[in-house]
Amino acid sequence: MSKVPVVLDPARAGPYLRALSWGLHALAPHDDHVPMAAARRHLASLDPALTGELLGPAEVDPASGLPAYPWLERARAEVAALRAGGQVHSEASLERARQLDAALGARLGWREALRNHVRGGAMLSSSALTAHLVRLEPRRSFRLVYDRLVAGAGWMRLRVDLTGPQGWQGTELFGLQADDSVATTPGLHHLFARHCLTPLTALHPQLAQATGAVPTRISRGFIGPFWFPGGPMPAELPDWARGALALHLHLTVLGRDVHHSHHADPWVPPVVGERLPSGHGLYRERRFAVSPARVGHAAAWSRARGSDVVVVPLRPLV
Amino acid sequence: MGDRVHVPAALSYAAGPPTTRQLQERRDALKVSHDASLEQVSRLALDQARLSEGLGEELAGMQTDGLTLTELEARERETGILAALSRTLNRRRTVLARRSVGESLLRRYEAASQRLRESSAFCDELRLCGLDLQAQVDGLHVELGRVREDARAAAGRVVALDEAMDAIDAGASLPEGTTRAQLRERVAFDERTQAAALDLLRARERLLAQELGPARELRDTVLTLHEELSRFVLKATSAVDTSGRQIQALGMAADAPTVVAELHDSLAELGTAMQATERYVRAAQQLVGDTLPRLSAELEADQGLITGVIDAESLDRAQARALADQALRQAAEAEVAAIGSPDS
Repeated sequence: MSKVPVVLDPARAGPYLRALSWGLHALAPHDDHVPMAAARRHLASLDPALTGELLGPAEVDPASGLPAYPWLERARAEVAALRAGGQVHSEASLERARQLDAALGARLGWREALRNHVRGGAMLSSSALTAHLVRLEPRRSFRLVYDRLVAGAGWMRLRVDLTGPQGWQGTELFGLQADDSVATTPGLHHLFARHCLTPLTALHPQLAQATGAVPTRISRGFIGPFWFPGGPMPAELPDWARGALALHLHLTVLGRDVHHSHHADPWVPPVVGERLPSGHGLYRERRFAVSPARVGHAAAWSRARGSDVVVVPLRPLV
Repeated sequence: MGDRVHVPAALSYAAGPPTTRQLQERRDALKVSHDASLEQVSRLALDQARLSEGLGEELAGMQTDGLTLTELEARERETGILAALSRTLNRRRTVLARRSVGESLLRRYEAASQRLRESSAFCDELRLCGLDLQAQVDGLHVELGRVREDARAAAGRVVALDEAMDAIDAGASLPEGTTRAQLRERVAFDERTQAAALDLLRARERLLAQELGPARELRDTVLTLHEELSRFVLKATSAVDTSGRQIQALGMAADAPTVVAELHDSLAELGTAMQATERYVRAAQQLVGDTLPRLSAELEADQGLITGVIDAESLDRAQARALADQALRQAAEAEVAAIGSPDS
C-alpha cells in the first residue's frame, strides 16, 4: 500500500469527516479506546464547514483511511496557538477585516469559529500518557493509559492496570502525590512510546520488570481502519465493503479477568502458539459500523469466518 | 461708477468649519492614532522576534535528532564480520533507540508546528495592521484633498472680499438698505475673519501633509514584514509538514532506513528556514531599535505646526491679501506636484 497520503477534494472532506464521526458515535467506544468526545471534537474542527481552508489540505492516511497525522496535527497546533494567546477578534473587527480583504476576513473568522468550537475541550493527542490510583489497600493498584496516533494503524489506546506486591509504594517511573494524583516521568512515557506496538504477551514481562508490579490487565484498543468509497482499501477487501462505509473498532485484552481466551476478530486470524502469562486469558474482538444496507452482509461474513461480532449501522446524526 | 459692490457669500467647508479648537482636536486625534499604530507595530515586531527565535530553536532541535538517527542508520550499514555480529546482537536495541529518537522528534515537530501556526496567525495580524495603515493613508489623502479645496475657496473669498473693499472705496453702488461705512466695516471684518480661517486651513494642510510621510513608511514597513514572513512561513510549513509525515512513520515502518534517509533530506531543508529566522529576528530588532523611534520623532515634530496661526484681530488687509495670494499659488503648485505621485 502507498505511503503517500490521499488528498481529498475540499468538497469531499466535510462528508468524509462527518461519516467517520457518525461511525464513532455508532460504535460508542468505551474506556479501552481513545476518548470519543475528543475524537469527534477533533474531526469537527477539521470540517471545512467550520474552518474553511484553514487546516487543509485534507490528507488521509493511505493505510488506515483515517485523517493523516499532519492534518490532525494542524488542528491541534492551531488550537494550541490560539490558547497560547492568539489575537481575539470581535464580530465588528471581523467585519472590518472582511471589508478590507475578504480572504483575510475569512481566515480570521475560521480561527474564531475554531476557538469557539473547542473552548476548553480536549482533542486527540498524538502521544499522551496519564496515570491514576485505582486502589490503595490492601495493595496499591494503578492504571496507566497511553494514547497514540499510530501511522498506518489507527488511533490507539494502551491501558495497563498494575498491582504492586505487599508494601510496594510505586517506582521511580511514577508515584502517588500528596493530592492523590499520580505523577509520571518522561522515562515512563518513553517506555510506552517504545513499546506501543509490542505484542501484549511480550509487553507483560517488560512492564513487570520495569515497574516491580504485576500487570493484571493490559488492553490495546484501536479505532480504524476506516473504509470509504474512493478511499484507500486493502487488497483483500470483503465484497460487502465495496462502495460502502465501514469503521473498525478493535480490542485486545490480556488479563486475569479474562477467564476464557477468545478470538472474535473476523478480519485478523488468531495467532498460533501464543504463550500467555500464568493465570491470564487473552481476548480479541472487532466491531464494525457499516452503511445500513450492508449490516446484514457484514454480520454474515463475520459468522462465516467464525466470529459472531457486533455490526452496527452507520447512520447520519441529525 | 456703474459697478455694483459684490460681497461674496459665506463658505460651507467640506472639511468642517476651521477653528483653532478643531485644529487642536485634529492634531490630538492624529497623535493618538499614530501613537497607537507605532505601539501596535512595535508589539508585532517584538512578537515576530519571539516567534522566530522559538521556531529557530525547535528547527535546530529537529536537526540534532535527525543527525542522531542518521548516525544510528550509518552504524546499521557498517560492513565487516564484527559489525554484522554486533548488529545482530543489537538489532532490537537499535529499533528501540530509533523509536526513542522518533518520539523526541515527534515532540519537536509538534512544537515547531505550533510555532508555525502562531506565525501564520501572526502573518494575518500583520496583514490586517498593514491594511489598517493603508486605510489611514487613504483617509489622510481624502482629508487633505478636502482641506486643500476649502483653503482654495477660502483664499478665493479673501481675494473677492478685498476686491469688494476696493469697489466700496472706489464709490461703486451699494446693495439696498446699507450705508458705505456700514458695508465697509462688515466686509473688512469678513476679510480678516476669512484670512484667519485660511491660515487655520493651511496649518491643517501642513499637519496632514507631514503626517502622510511617516504613515506611508509605517505602512510599507508592515507590508514588507508581512510579505517576507508569509513567504517564510509557507516554505517552512511545507518542509516541517514533510518531516512530520516521516517522523510519525518512524519506528513503525519496516523500511526505517528509507524513512530516515527521506527525513534527513527534509530536515536539511529546515537549515534554510533556520537562517531565515535569524534574518527576521535581526530585521525585527532593527525595526524596534531604529525605524520606529525615528518615525515617532518625526511624528512628534508635527506638534509645533499649529503655533504660528494668526489671530484675526492682528491682521490688516495687506496681510490678508498676501496670505490669500500665497495660498492660491501654493494650491496650484501642489496640484502640479501631485501629478505623478504614487500615493496621489
